[in-house]
Amino acid sequence: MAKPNDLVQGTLDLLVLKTISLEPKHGWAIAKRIQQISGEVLQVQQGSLYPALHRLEQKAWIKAKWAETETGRQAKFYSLTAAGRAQLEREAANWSRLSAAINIVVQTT
Amino acid sequence: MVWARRLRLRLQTLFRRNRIAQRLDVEIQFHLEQQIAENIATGMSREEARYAALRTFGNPTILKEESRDTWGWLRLEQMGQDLRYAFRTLRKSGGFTATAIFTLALGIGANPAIFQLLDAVRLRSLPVSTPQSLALVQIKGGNHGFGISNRETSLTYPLFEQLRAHQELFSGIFAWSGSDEVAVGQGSQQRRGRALWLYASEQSHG
Repeated sequence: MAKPNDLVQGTLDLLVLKTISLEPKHGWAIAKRIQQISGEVLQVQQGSLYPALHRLEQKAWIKAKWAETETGRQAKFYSLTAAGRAQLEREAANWSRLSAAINIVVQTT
Repeated sequence: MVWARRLRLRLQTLFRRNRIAQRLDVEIQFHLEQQIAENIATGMSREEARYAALRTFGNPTILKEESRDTWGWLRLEQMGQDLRYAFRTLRKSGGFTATAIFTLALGIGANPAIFQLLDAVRLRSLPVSTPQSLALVQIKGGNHGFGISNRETSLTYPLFEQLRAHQELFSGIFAWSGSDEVAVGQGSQQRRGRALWLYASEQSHG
């Protein structure tokens, strides 16, 4: 089970950007979603999402809006900006290249 | 307009820091409560659910700190903390603070006072129309053999008269000499003092 420290640096950013690319989500939902989709393999230490979210917000890749949840509570919802969408494409492409290269190295004997 | 948005965010994190910090507290509180509710739904007791939520979350205080660090202005914040700390410390030791402030005040006050004096005496030009054209006439190499004194600027009156009559360098020339004590005024208003005799040609500005 991978802890966040084991995640390649910058990978958390990619995961967050990807997770909110379809619809705005609050922090807890982002953590849950990453866990679910990765089949519980990626156990992001939930709290470490927040420094990442705030950093991405300062870079204007994501924007935040306070809104009501289904249960009627106020929560901070994050969504992608145009710049964030471009960044997601760049990082996703980088990741594909990197993981493909590592795969080749690992599988070649 | 990414840079405009970034600038706005930077200004917000500078001027509305406390408000944003409060909102971060609310945000993290909401997260923990969501997790606690989920844990309770899986059959944990309230207490268990709270501990489990904190375990999966990590240390909220440290994570809040890390989030704040991404807002920038870290140097400024630290400087503010240092200043506040300095003020607190100074307030606690009144005698030391008073002495330090007094010493500084004395030093700062003495500087302009001394400068003002020097400025008035040495730096400011003389109150005449073209101070740069004023010159002091003296006999090069001293005044030996002219019978007055060894001061280079000391001339006898006949010598001054010759200078005044024949010099062509200046528009005018004047000389001065000190007097013995003289009485000025009459009766009870009379004061004694030293006077300065001035000998000038009509054109001189002095």
